[in-house]
Amino acid sequence: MKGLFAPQSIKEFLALLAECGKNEKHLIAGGTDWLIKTRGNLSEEAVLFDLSKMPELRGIENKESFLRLGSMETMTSIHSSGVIRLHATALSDAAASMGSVQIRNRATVGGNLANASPAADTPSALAVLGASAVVFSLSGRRVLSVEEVLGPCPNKNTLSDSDIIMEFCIPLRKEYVSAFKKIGSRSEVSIARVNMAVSARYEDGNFSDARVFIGTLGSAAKRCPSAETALSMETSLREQSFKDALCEFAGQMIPGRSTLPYKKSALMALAEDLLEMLEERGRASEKSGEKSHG
Amino acid sequence: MNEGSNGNKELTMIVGVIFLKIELKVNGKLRRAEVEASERLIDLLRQKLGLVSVKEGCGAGECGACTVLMDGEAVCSCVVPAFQTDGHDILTVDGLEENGELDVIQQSFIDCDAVQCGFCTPGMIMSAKALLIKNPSPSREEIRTALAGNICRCTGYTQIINAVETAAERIGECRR
Repeated sequence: MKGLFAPQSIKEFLALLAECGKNEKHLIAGGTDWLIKTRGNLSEEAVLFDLSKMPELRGIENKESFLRLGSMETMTSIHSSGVIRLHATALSDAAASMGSVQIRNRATVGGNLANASPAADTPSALAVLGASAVVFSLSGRRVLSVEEVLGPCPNKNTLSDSDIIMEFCIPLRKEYVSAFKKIGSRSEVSIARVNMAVSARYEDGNFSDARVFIGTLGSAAKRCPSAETALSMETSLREQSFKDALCEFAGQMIPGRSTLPYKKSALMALAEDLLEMLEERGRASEKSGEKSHG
Repeated sequence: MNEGSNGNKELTMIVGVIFLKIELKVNGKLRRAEVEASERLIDLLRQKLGLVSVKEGCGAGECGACTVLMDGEAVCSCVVPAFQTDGHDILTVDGLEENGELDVIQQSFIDCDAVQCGFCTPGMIMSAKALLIKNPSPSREEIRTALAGNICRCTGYTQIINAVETAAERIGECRR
């Protein structure tokens, strides 16, 4: 290893980055995945950046038209935030169901996206909420949708090792509800076998303008347009069409894989639970009059 | 980027490996240590500070045997980079005893027969400690959630949950 830096601002990070040249770079957020991935094996040329000392990467704020979420916020801070629960409910669900208390206290939302695990929980929730990531690199600042960051390839994303995610912006959309759920091997502390996030506009028991993202079908979040269309159908056809669309999509994403029958039945169960959660949330927000993107 | 001060971390080169000097509080005492960049908190605690109560089970943050408190929050010390504990406060089960008296959680584990082989016990107790600091009267469901990251292969959990419930009751009695 060549060096370890703990920059205190984006500006300082970029100045240090410029000094590193082509050396291999490791950006360390909570470290929960990084330590397991590296297992003490660092190349001689590796340069490490500890992101834990940068206040610009922290904070959860309601900015009227969007929520600002610092990339170094932990799963614990996210699921205990009232603002997130009200306006970005799917993300709150995902953060609460990720890992154990111990992992949630350390794991960060930026790290969860940057690590590019196909079984990650928060990327599908962020994508369904239409979140964008503010990314800095030597070439400047750019804003990418979470879908653009995820990219098409499994186990990697479109970011380079010189890109730092500073924050996420989650649009606040009134009259929308959202939910996330996963199925894993242990009841509470598990890596998702299948996860799914859904958001939709809710009015008088009907859904429209839905977004559906499924995790673990080879990548952290794949959008499923046919399931989105199914959600807008009339109530009597909705549930079955939604399930059929999900199963067909799984077959297209991972054809012939041994886990496909399991994933299909898990998706159908998730579909039932998510519909129930969305309807309940829709009714509750209509009742309270506090309709907000949730 | 040569060795030496880089503005943030003081680096020392010892036989070709870079060590970082850190200062942290462990069980109330200020400790200084030199750690490697990829060193884990569990290695620092067990190998450099001799705190072998911190057990390594899975080494991947899944079993909770290595749970310690960092600034009052439960963390798996096998997935915390040691250098990130610079300036922080670490509490292990060794730091719970005060003036020769066991912590109420430790005593409750003994009284409720919540210890069998004992390997998971330090981690279980630290997860329970983190819970009771925040929520002194948790429901059984809240106890289950707080301990969900700790695996026990002997007891079947019932006695452990009873022990945490008993500790909470005893804390409540003391406050009354």
